[in-house]
Amino acid sequence: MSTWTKKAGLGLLAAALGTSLLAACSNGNNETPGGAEAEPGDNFNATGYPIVDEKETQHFVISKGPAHGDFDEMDTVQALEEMTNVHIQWEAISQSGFDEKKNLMFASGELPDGFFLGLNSQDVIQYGQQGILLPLEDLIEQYAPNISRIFEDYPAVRQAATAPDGHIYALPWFEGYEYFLYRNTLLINKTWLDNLGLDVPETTEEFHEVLKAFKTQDPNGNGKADEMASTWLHNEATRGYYELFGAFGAVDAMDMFSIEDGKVRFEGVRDEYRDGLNYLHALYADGLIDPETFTQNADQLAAKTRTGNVGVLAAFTGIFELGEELLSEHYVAVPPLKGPNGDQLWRRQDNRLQQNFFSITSENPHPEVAIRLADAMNETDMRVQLHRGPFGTHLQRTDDGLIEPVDPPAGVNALEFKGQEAPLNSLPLLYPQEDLDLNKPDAPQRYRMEFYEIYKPYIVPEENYFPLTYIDEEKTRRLAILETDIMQYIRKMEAKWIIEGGADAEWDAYLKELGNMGLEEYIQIHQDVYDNLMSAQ
Amino acid sequence: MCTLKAFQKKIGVNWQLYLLFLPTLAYFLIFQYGPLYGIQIAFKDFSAVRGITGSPWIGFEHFERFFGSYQFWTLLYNTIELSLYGLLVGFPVPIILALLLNQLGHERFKRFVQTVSYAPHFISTVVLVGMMFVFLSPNSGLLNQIIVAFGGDPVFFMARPEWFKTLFVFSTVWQSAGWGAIIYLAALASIDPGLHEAARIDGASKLQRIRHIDLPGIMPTIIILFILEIGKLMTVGFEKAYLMQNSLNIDSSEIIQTYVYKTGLLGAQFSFSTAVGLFDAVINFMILILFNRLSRRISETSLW
Amino acid sequence: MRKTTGDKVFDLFNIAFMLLLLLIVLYPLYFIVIASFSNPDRINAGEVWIWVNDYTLKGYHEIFQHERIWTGYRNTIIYMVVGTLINVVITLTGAYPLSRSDFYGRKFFMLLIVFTMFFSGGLIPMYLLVKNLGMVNTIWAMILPQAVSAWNLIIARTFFQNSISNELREAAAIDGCSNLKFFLQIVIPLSKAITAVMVLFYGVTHWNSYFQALIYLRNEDLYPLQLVLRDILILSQSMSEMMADQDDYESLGETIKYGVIIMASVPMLVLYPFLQKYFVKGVMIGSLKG
Repeated sequence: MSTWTKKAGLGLLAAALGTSLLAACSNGNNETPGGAEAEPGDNFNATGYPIVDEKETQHFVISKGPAHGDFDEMDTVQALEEMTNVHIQWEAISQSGFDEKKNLMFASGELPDGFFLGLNSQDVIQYGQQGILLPLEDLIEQYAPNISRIFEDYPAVRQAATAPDGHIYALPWFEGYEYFLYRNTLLINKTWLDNLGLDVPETTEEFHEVLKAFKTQDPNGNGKADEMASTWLHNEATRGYYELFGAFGAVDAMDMFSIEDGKVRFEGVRDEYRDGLNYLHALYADGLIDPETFTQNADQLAAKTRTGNVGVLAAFTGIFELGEELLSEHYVAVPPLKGPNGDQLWRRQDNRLQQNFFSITSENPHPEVAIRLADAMNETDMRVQLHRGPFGTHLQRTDDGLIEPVDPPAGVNALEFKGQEAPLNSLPLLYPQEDLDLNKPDAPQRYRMEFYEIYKPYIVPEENYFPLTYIDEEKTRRLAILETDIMQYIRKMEAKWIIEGGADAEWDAYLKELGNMGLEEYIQIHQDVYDNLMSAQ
Repeated sequence: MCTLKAFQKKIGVNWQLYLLFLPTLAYFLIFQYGPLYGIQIAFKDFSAVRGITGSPWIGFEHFERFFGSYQFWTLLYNTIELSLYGLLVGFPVPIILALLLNQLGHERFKRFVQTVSYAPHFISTVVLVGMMFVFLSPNSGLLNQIIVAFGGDPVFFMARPEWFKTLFVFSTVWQSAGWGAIIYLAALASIDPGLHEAARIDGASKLQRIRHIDLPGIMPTIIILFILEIGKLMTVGFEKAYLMQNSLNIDSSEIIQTYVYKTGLLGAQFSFSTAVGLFDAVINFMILILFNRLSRRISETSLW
Repeated sequence: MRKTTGDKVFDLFNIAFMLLLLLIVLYPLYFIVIASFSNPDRINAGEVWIWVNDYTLKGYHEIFQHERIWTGYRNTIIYMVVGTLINVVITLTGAYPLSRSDFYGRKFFMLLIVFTMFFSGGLIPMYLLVKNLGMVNTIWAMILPQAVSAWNLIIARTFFQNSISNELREAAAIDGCSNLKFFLQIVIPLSKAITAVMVLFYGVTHWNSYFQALIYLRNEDLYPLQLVLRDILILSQSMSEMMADQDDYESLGETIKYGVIIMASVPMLVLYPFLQKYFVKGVMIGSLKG
């Protein structure tokens, strides 16, 4: 029996080797990336519309969100095709599972003509430098007047879109509302405050007292201690508790990097950050933070907040979390709390610009058509429609020439309403200020603008903010390795210390552990990135 | 020549059997052995442009990186602990269940219990984990409401590293014990009723009969299943571990499979994750060989 | 014959244990049912435990309107039926020769098969293979890469070894019955039990699988139910992160969660009783090593 096993084992090995050879032979035909076609054909018009005389198809991959309808059937998309004569063959991949599929596409060389929303910065740099994604800057200059104008008028946009090697491999999204400068509004239940005769808290200490009162003094008056003092998300920017660290002088407890006098600083090892953790632990120990904060997602959080039985939450506007009725009647924004040492900062998160909304691959036979398509999307009227839905059903013009949204039919989610007819925030749309000024703000925007005024004076200044930029491939790779270990450890300890306390006692061990993981190198790479960026400016 | 002829003769008589076997063989060669050549990327710096064969060899760099990585020992420890825990608890339960079910006198009650017990098997992992969150929620979960009612403090089970493995193992038991018992029940049914009759006349109690008749009767089945289970030791449960994972329990919930998924498929570090996966497979295979040998020596039952 | 005290105690303990077991298994399932008819807010407040609270059919109403669920349902059924059919045919035809002691090379083949239970080329090579075969984004990617399970093959082989006697085959051979004919006309009709086992094993696997779909399918219209379910139950929020401006998308998750769970689980629970009769017998013979 056992000799037979051995023999069979050898045979097996041989068989395996045999197949591997066969397979190896059949797999040697990897194509080298072909660049752009030398000369655009006769079919192509360098200016004016249509872009091509005879209909052409471009195959694009896009990350499909839950609110998106069928891209082929969107009115705005059809209008775009009518104008440009370019048919987009949409490969809309559902957002969950997008990363897996996108990575497999690149790994197997199975590429579309281009990508809209879906790639991340690492992809863009890595595949850009490998030649799989084409550099766009010449194409833009030659064929894309709308985009060129934005780049001229807003150098920061151009800079954020440029890779360290000087090429532009992806177009960004740009919508320059100032209210995108911070992430969370801290909302508090004003009705509860009034019921208990309390004022909106101004310091961290008062905040603690108010939460305690919410928890113990029955602010909803039903005779039961069923109130939830506060609920948040852990390790998420939106709805996270990370803004609270500002009261202790920590600049960014979410992304962990800040700039001080041209030096990159890692917030996760600063005493200010630790003080914030201790404070949150004090809240937690008094039962003032929902324990499910650490495992729930936005939907689960919203299921709680929508009952109106939550004292404090963090939100972009609060409309999703509370609904407009609850928000307008019961909740107000809490201005940044003043900490024990007088610190009063609000975390900056600049979302006016977001990277990676459009790339062209080396497989694309007509990159000039693709770039003109992206430019066509940025015609003033086309842009707003692709973003917010078509005129008539979704948008209308007011008497003074402004554009205002049409309310969705009763019972229909606003985003889903728009998503049926427009690709929403998935295309490379870049708004110049004058076009933003055409928009009459809708309800969520009005709330946001109002909230922004409250936080504006306290938002971390730009010079302390680690800017949005691409990092070269080698550094990215190194960072990916370091970041997994470091950030996972930090989040774990953060949660542990908030729940159990002990940050002071374990702090030195924590610093040491981070040192072992290569924190020094992690920071140094960021410093290099920052220095390069500054010298480029 | 002679051997070749003999060979031809052996096949020739039963050529139709080979015909029947052909689809199976084709499947294993194409879909199981075909992709095996790709294991080489564990030793290469795989890049999309160059493809599998064109990527440059880099030897054991990925393995070195893994062995030297900060997480290596945690991963290994978690994977092994979780598997062994699962095996020690999860394996005997269906056997005990089958033995006890077999002793139920009331035929219809027995059938009912049996039918109910396999029901959770049909529930998918996604659903199972969703249910765990509901039942174990610190705010509204049933278990914590009971704990609070008895004056205790609510425990946030899904977020505690020390609970992760227990939850993982026992939810698996909940889901699959009834199903697993079916095989043993079947084996029990094939035991000669005469043996029980004789033992009863000799005054053997039920417990004694279970120990001396039932258990030895199903022992071969137990051993075979045990070895197969061992072989799967380090591969089961990726999906569930991944779904149950969060940054609070990560210390005990990060196992090799979730790590491979995260670095490979989500992080696009294909070569590295293949190397880690290969490491896992090799360990598995060694364990299998070891146990098969052990079993052959002790009980003369073995897989091949 | 009188029971001894020891046996009585044993029986008592045994019945109590079984009742406890029934409670442990049934309650969570029961909870899902009542939860599916209750207002999600009440569930979140921890007020649904014994009976429906704030009865509502909203969840089911939403489900019936949710097109993706029905597409998923349809796809899953197609994958399950076609897939199981192929699985069962290949498994039985493959297992039978392996059960024959005069099948030259069977030990080698067995090892070949067992080996694959531990080693695989990993995802990328597998994906490349499936892609090169032109199966990405088609139903075949859901079926062919899992056409046979080594584990089921072994069970079926053992079944044949134990249930098809050599005498039977020799008798047939004397009558001039070829292997193929013997297999089709005699073995198959005698194999209802193992067929039922295979149908159930493979069927359940197809019903609950989503990983293949996650990897190989890009077209949402091809998604199976479990993948849709995963979207609804687990991943519903990353959109809001991306959508910097204004309104978030309210996922249906909380409202339809429980109803969807029921819909996803009931068909399998219904399938079993029909196969149960054969099933136990099939497992019995298939799991005893011959």
